[in-house]
Amino acid sequence: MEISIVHLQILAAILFALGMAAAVGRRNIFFVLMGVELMLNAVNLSFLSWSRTFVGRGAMEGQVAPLFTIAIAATEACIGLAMVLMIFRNRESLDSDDFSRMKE
Amino acid sequence: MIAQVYFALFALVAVLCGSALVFARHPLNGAMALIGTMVSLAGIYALIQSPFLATLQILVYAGAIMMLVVFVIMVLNCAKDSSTPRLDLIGAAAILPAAAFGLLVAGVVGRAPILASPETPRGTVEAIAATLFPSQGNSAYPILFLAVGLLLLTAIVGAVLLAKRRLESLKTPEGEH
Amino acid sequence: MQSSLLWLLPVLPLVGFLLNGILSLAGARSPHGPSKGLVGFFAVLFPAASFILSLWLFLRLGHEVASVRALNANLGFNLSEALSYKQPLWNWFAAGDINVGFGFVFDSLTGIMLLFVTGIGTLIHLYSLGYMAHDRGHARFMSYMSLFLANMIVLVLGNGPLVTFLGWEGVGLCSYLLIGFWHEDDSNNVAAVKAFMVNRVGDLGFLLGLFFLWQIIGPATPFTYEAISAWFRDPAHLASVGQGALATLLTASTLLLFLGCTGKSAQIPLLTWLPDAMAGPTPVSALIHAATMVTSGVFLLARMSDVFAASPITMGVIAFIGAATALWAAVAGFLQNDIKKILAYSTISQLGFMFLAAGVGAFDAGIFHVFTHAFFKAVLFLGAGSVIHALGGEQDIRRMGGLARKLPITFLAMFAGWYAITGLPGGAGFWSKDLILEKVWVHGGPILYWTALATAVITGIYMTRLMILVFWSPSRIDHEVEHHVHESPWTMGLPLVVLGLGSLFAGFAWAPMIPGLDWFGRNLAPIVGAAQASLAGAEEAHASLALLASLGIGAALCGIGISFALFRSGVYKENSSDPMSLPARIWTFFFDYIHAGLGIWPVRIASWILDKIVNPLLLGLVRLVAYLVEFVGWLFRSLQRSRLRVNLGVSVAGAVLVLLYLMKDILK
Repeated sequence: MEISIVHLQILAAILFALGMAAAVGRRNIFFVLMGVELMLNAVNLSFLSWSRTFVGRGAMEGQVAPLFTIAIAATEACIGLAMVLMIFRNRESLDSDDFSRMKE
Repeated sequence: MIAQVYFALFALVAVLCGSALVFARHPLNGAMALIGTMVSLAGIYALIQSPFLATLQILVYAGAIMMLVVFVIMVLNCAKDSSTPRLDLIGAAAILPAAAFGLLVAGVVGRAPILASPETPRGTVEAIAATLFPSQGNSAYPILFLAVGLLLLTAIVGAVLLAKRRLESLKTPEGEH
Repeated sequence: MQSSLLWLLPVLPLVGFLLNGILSLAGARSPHGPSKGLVGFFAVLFPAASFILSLWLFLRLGHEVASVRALNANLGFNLSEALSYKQPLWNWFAAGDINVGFGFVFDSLTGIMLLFVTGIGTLIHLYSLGYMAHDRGHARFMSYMSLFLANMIVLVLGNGPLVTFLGWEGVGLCSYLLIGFWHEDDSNNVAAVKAFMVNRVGDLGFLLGLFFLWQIIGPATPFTYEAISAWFRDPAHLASVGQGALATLLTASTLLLFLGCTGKSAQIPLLTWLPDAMAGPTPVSALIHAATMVTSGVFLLARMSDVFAASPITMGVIAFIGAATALWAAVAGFLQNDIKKILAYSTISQLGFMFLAAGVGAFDAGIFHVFTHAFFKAVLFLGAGSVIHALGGEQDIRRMGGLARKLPITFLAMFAGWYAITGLPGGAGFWSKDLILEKVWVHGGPILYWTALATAVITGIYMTRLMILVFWSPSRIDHEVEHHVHESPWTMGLPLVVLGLGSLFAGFAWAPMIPGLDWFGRNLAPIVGAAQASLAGAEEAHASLALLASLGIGAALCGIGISFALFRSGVYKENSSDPMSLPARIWTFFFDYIHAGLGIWPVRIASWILDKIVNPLLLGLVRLVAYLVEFVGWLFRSLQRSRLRVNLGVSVAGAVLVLLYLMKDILK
């Protein structure tokens, strides 16, 4: 394989940081959700590139993990969006600062 | 050689779309950027001998999940939300740790002597199927597979229930259908 | 058979205590209290039973000793004359090396003490029936008195120092209960607490002395008087405690034991409680603070005579303190105006004589003076009680006078007591005090002798002053009171008569000048003889008994004469109602001032410091810890923000920090 594993890992780290930045820094709740999706994608990339260093069973398991991750990401997006709908109906706003009613 | 060029291209697109996600104004713009990231990631998957996952990524992730996200964005019609600033002081302050995190991980990984092994098998459908449903030997994957299916079913039901306008409308006996 | 009856001696008054206690509690709701007849019956029955039993035991013991003596004389045997009845009861406690048993022993010393303790005790119980008849709490009083008698018997009867200590503490408790009997008046409670506290200091000395003693005699010796005396009579042991570390230990032990004796017997420095104890009813003063409890110290010295004799320093200290106390108290007695306080200081002074005797090595003379003193001091106190009762509560002798005709029986009884205490010839005090003076002259040296003789003179002065001002001088009584003056009932009169006769004739139990009348001394010889023999080494001066006796009588007559000259008409400064003058106050309360300065004020200052300085400091420290915890909690709380993004951002920052820490080696 010609592509260096290190490059792949660095790419995954950058994408993860970008996803985290979006999830933590943006006010709009959709961006938070999309940032989480981006983070999951970065992790998938990391899994796949690591599996390239194994021989045999480890390699195949490196392929199976992203499979399950995608399935779970689907689940989570589904429920998350339903909750966004509910919250929007309650508060008429998509600003995460308006949802900040936790105890100080 | 060619693979490296393609890889550089896909990587660039992915990173650019990712930063577009951070700086986009409208959520719909961000969703489009995210789809771009996913497609380029699918290309990278294909480059590293994982064709099944590349296909799966486009079919499920970019095709279904992001479609759902775009759908909900458009349902909520958040034009009125454009008044929220993209980034304020707190947001900028919150981005810094994330950047530090990424740099740290990259710094560590970059010094590690990782080498790809040439004998690693290619992630074809047959290979993955053989791993998931092995003809001999014990494996937990079949059960996990079924469990994920159950989880998806639960998510569907949950989402329907959560998003319903009023919970009582499920139970209204006569009149509303 | 006699040995197995010893336990009855303390138990009988104890039963009386319980019965009268139950009666007192049962009659608590009725308007006049329980039936006086029933209470009186129990009150006198049980002490009398105890007295009869101890008399019987004493006679049987004497019989056995006489037969042993006859065997020794006629057949040349060398049997020991130190016979006793022993009743070891049970194993009290065994802890490590220490093994202490509880039991009783009845030898001639015990017998003599018990005779007058139970005898005078019974008489005073009878007297109290009349004296406390109008008091609502008379049943409680009689039960406390019986409890006291039971404890005193345990003290005397104990077969080891710890059993004696049990009784010692018990009589201290009863003293407290009885002094503060009229507890509605707070000054009585203060006096009772003072008595208990001062005694407690003495008890500490007693216990420490016992601990050191146990160190000396070692764990192999059982902790009974018999074993201790045997240990100290062994010449090898005596040589070992003669010098070096053991000698210091023995001196410390005996000095501490003596401190306990000064507490109980009101000597310098722990004597301040006895005058205050006069706040209790007069029978209490008569029984406890004159005849029995205060003599426990002298009794202990006689019981452990072998121990004390082995430490010459302590013996010197005892003699000196005895003489000093006797002199000081005699002068103080002269300065008082309350009839009971005069008698209280007189008691302290006479106790000083007893300790002086013990200090010069004449333990038997000390015990003899205990014996005679019990009679004449008891009769003086009971007579004083009769006078107070007749005058309806008046206790100041400046407002008495001319009572010789009005209270004949009381007067005769007190006259007998006065005759004995001043040492006029033939009375009980003459024989015992002159015996002491003789021993002091022979063993003690001139300073102690002239101090004792001076004390005898002053004794004559103040006792005669009392008699003159109360009985012989013209009446200064308040007119309303004078109409009600009446002689006491027979319950009070009978003990007065009996004790008055005792004051006159009890001294003949040991009259060395009349040949053959030394029964008392002979009986005590087996017990204290060894110690006295070991101290009789340096006999300095031989003196003729007649000379010394006439010196004693001369001292008494001198004192009486001075007193008559000063106070005959009853007008010498005695018509006033002034409080005590300043020099009199300083002399009387001298030791109270010392106690206040050395003991009470340091405690007060220390408690003020603790209360105002240390307490706030500690509280502040506790609050500081609390604030610290609160502060740390505030720090952690401030990490939680309600704004979603801030919360998430802080989490990410935390993750970064953890990552940094984990990667610190790699990043170098």
